[in-house]
Amino acid sequence: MLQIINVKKSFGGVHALRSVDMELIPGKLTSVIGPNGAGKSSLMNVISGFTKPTAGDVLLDARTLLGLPPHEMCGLGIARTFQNLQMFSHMPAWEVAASGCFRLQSASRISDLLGLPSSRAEMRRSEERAHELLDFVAFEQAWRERRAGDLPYGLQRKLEISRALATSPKWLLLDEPAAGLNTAETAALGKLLKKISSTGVSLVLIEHDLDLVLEISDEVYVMDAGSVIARGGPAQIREDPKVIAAYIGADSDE
Amino acid sequence: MAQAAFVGIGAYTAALATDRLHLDHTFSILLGGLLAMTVGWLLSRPLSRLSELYLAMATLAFGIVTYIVFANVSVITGGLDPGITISRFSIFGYRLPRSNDFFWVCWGALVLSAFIASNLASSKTGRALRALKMSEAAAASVGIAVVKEKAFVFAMGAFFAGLSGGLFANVSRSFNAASFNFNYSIDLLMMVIIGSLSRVSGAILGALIITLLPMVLDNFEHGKTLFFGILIIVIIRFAPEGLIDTAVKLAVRLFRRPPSAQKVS
Repeated sequence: MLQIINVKKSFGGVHALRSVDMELIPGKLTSVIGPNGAGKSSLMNVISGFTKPTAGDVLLDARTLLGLPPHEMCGLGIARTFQNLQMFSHMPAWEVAASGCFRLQSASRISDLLGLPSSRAEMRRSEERAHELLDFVAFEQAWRERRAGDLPYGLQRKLEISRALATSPKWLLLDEPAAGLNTAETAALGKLLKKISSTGVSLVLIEHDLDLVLEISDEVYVMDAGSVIARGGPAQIREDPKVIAAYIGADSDE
Repeated sequence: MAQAAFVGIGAYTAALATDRLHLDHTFSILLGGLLAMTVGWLLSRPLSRLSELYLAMATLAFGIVTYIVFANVSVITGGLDPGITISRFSIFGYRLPRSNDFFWVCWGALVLSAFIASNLASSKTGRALRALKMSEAAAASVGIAVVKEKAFVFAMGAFFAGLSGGLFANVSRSFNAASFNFNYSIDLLMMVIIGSLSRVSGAILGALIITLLPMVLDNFEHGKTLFFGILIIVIIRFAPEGLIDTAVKLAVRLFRRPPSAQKVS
């Protein structure tokens, strides 16, 4: 279980997170929604080790994650994607996915420097695994040799998810994966996330798109102004008057 | 930008270890590489927090400081005058028949270094380095320890620079601190910019050009610097990724014409 206990984060005088508590259940698809500035991304960065909270704790199976550098999160089975695409843009697409295998490649430095068979086999294996994952996310064959930075936005999003999956995560944190996608792409993303969830990976989805969240989530947390204002299943959230007032209501005014 | 300093560390270590500690030449050259690697690794720790321009400035400063040390601690290094000398090269006591035969040792070292460098580039470490150059956050998210990888590659670079310093010491037999001044770092940088920033073959081609060109131009005493400067500007303007990459791109364009181009011709 991934527990967020009384987490606070302030930047100067701005309270991005005011005492957030969450219990994320393994094997489920949990979403965190809220309007801009609700503190979703701050929460994501705290969980994945990119920012330190001002107070509180983050526990994975009763073990604290605080103070661990981001690259060690990967070893604990936590992978993430980024709100603003963080692409290895000069690599061919398949290699971006293959780069997710880094942690699983255990050949020694000496073996790497001498180009020993163990290192070469590992590199070939990472390429095969990249293609398996690209098949899994339905990333078209024709695009795989292209420079990642030249790909359409939707494909880069898919590629980011493949890269995260290549680390063999138990937990996959997705920071607004639907941002910048069109309706068809968003629908396809929803299906993909369901498919990933069905393989036993626990998903935490930070998202703006309410329809997507209510369609695919097992559990939803609603945040507003740095606090959790509601928690429950999609049906419950849809009816919650606080949610309608703070989020859905505000949204329909636009 | 500090490569000249590491070459210097390698050269002085090799010279001092053979002539003062009476160690074997080959072993001394290796020792120079290892010492440069250690210094490089130590230096990389504070430097890993810097990026781009600041990193370049810091390494540049290190290069200049090291040069000043080489030039002024003349008790050990011989400074600028009289410099330092090293006895004739021998492999484990066996002296090469002609002094020019050391040439083959250098070529051997080149082949070995190129082999290791290209393995490194195609290994997971090479991939990790390419990744963290583009996004440190994403690199960390797939488990790449950014500081550790940077330190490793910095140390490797210093090792090879140190090794080449030891070879240089044995080729020249007599040198002074002026060999490792700022201009030399610039020359080394030019080699990779001209050849290729991403290919081992580019570094070799760049080294050949930067080394041979001044010799070819020796007859035009005054025009030499001018010609050299113009050449480099032309290369940076028209082949910004280096000559090798540009040549590869040209070849691809020539041999794999798009269908539309074929129709026109």
